[in-house]
Amino acid sequence: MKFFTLFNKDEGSRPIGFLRRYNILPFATMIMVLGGLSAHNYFSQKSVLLKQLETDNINLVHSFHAALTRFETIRKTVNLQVLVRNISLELEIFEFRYLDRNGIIINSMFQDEIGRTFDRPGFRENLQKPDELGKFYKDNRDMTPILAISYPVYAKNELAGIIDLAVDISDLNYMENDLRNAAVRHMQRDIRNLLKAIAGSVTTSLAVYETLDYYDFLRNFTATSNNLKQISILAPDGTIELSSDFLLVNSTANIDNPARIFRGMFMYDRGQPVYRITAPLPNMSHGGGHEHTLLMQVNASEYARNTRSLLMTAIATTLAGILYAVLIAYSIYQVNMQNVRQERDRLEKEVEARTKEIKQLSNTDPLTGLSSRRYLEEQMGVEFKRAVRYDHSLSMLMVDLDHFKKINDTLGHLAGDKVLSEVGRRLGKTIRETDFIGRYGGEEFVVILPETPTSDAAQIADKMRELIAERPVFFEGRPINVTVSIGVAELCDSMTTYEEVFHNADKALYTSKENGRNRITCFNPAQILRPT
Amino acid sequence: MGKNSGKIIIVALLTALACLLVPQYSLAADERIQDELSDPSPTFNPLRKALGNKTYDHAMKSGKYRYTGNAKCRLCHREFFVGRKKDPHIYSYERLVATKHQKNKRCLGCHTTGYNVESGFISFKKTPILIGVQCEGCHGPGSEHVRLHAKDASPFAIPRIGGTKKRKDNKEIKGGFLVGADKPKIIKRMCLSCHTKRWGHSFPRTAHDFQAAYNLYKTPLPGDDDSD
Repeated sequence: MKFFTLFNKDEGSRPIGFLRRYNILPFATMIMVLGGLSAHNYFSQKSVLLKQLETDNINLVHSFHAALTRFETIRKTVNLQVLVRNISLELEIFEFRYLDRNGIIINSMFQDEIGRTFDRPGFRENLQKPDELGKFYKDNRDMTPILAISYPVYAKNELAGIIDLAVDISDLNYMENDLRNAAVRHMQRDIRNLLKAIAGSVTTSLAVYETLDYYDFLRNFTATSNNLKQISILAPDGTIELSSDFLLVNSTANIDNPARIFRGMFMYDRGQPVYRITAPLPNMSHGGGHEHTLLMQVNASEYARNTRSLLMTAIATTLAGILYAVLIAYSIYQVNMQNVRQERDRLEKEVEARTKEIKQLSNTDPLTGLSSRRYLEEQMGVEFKRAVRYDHSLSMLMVDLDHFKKINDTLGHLAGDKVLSEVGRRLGKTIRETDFIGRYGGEEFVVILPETPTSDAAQIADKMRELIAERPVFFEGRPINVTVSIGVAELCDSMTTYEEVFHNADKALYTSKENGRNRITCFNPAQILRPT
Repeated sequence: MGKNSGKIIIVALLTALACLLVPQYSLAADERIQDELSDPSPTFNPLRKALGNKTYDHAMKSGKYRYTGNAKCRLCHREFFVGRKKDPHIYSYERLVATKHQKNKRCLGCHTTGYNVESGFISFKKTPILIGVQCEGCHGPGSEHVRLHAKDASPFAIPRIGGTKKRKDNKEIKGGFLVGADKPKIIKRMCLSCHTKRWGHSFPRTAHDFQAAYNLYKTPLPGDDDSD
C-alpha cells in the first residue's frame, strides 16, 4: 500500500517522474535481485555444463590410457608373446626370457618380472663379455639345478637382444656319469636348434616392433574419437615428445606446470573453443626414465554454444523481468493518477456547488426565505436600468407590518419571527414569476414589479393586503391579527436612480400609515390617492 | 657375504643332523619295507583309491586329464614350487633310489607322480619329469587346470587398469583338478591312501595331528625338516 501512496505524491508530474523520486530505491533493488538471480542461475548452469564436460573427458582420458597401455603391451610383446606362450606351455623348458641388450626383461614366462633387470650372476658375467654369449652354463634357480644359455639375437648386424633359456637337469643326478654327459650333449644340441629357430622369429618380431609407431597410434586415436582435436605427450619440462600433430613435436607446450593430477580447462586456442586436459601418464614405457604428462585438446564448441545461449537467456530473462515490472508499476501509477484526477474533479464540482449555495444563502433572507436586501437592491438596479433603456414601466411596492413592535413586545421575538415568516410566505405566493420580493429590513418588505404600471401594481398590492388581513397568524395556537400598509410608486422619465422610486414608495407607505394603516397608497407628486 | 655364510652354516648343520638321524631311520625303514612288501593289499594307484572306482574310470575315459609336470605349475604358482622344493615329497624318489627299490612297482605308486595312471610316471628313462611326489601327485593330472587358466592367469594376459579380473558370469572358474582344493574330503583321502599307518601316519611334525598337517600344506612353505 505504501508503494501506491508513493505514486500519489507524484500527482501532476510526467509519467517517468515516478522513477526519479522515491521509487528509485525499490526499482534498483528489484533490478539487482532479478539480475542476481539470473546471474546465479547462469553460473550454476554453466558449472554443471563444465562438470559434465570434465566427466566426459575424464572418461576420455581413461579410455586413452587403457588404449595406450594396450598399445604399449602389444608393441612390447608382439609375436614374442605367442612365442613365449608356446615355448613355456608346450615345451619342457624351465625358464624362457627375452631381454634387451642391457639385460632388462622385455618378455618372460613370469609376468611379474617383465621390465625388471635380469640379475642372475651367470647371466651378468656373460653380459660383461659379449664373446661368451651363446655358451651354456649351469645354474641353480628356484632350488632346481638347470642348464642355461644366453643366446644373442642380432638385427641389422647389431646385438638387439638376448634369449635366456634354461632347462631342468635335476633328473640327470640319477644317471651314471657317461649317460649323463651324453644326455647333456643331446640336450645342448636340441636347445641350439630350438634357439636358432626362435631367433628368426624374434628378428621378425623386432622388425614389426619398429614399425608400430606412436605417431600412428595417436593420430588414429584422435581420428576415431569424436571431438578430440589433438593429443600430445609431454616431458616434465613441457617439451612435446609425441603428438598426433606431427608439426608440434619438439616444440614447447604452453602450460605452466605439467599436471600431476587430472586438470581440465576451457580456453580458446587460435580462436577455436577447446577444452584442454592435462593428466599424468604413469608407467608409460616410451622414452623411459622420466614421468610423462598427457595433453589433450577437445573440441568444446558445443559447450561454448550452450554457454552463450545460457548467457542470452539470463540477460533476456532479466530484461523481460525488468520490463514487466516497469510496465506493472507504470500501469499502477496510471491508475492512481486517474483516481487522483477524478478525485480532483469531484472536489472542484463540490466546491463550485458549495460556493453557489453560499452565494444563494447570501441572496436569501434566512427567516422568510425571500431575497435579502442586498440581492433586492442589486435586482432593483438591474431592473431600473432595463426599464429606463427600453422605456418600460416599473413599479415598486413597499410593504410594512402594522404594529409589529407591539407584537414583539407583547408576544416575544419568536412570535414576531413567526409573523414575519408567515407574512413573507403569503406575500411570496401572490407575486408573478417575473416579480421580485425581498425583505428590506425589520418588518419592511419590498416588491419589484417589472413591466407593470401603477394601476396594475395597486391591484397586486391590494390583493396582498387582503391576503394578510383575511386570517390571523397562529403562534403556539394563539391567533395574532396582522395587517400591512403598502406604498406604491412608479418609475418616471425624470428619474436617474432607482432610489428615487424607492423614496417615492416609502413616501406612499408613510401616507398609508398616516391614514390609519391596513391600506395601500399610490404615490402622487401632488396628492396621495386613496384607494376606492 | 653374510647371507651366503649364513646359508652355508645352515646347510652344514642340516647335514650334521641328517648324519645323526639317517642310521636310525634306515634301520626303522628297513623294518617297514619288509612289512610293506609282505602286505597282501598294496597301494598301486592312490588316485583311484581316493576318488573311488566309478569317478576315476569316468574321468580317465574322458581323456581330459594328463600329467604335465611341475614346471608348468611353476608358471603361475612359483612360490608353491619353491616351497615344495623344500619339502620331502618332491624327494620321495630319492628314498627309493637309496633303498634300491626304484623299480619296485609296489613302491612307485606312492613315490612318483601318477604311476599306474594313464600319462603318469612310467619309468625314469621315459618320464623323468614325473619323479617324486609333485603337485599333481596329490591333486591329480593338471592338464585341464592349465587349459582352463592359461588365458586368465598367463603372463600374456594384457594388464587391466584397476581391479582384478572377474569372469563375465561372475563365477569362479572350477579348478579343473580331480583332487582340487575345493574338495578337502578327497584330498584327505588322497593323503591317507599313501600315509597309511605304516608310512608316516603319525605326522610327527604336527604332533600326530592329521588335520594340522593338512592345514600346514595349504601354505606355500610347510617346512623343510620333515622326514618320514
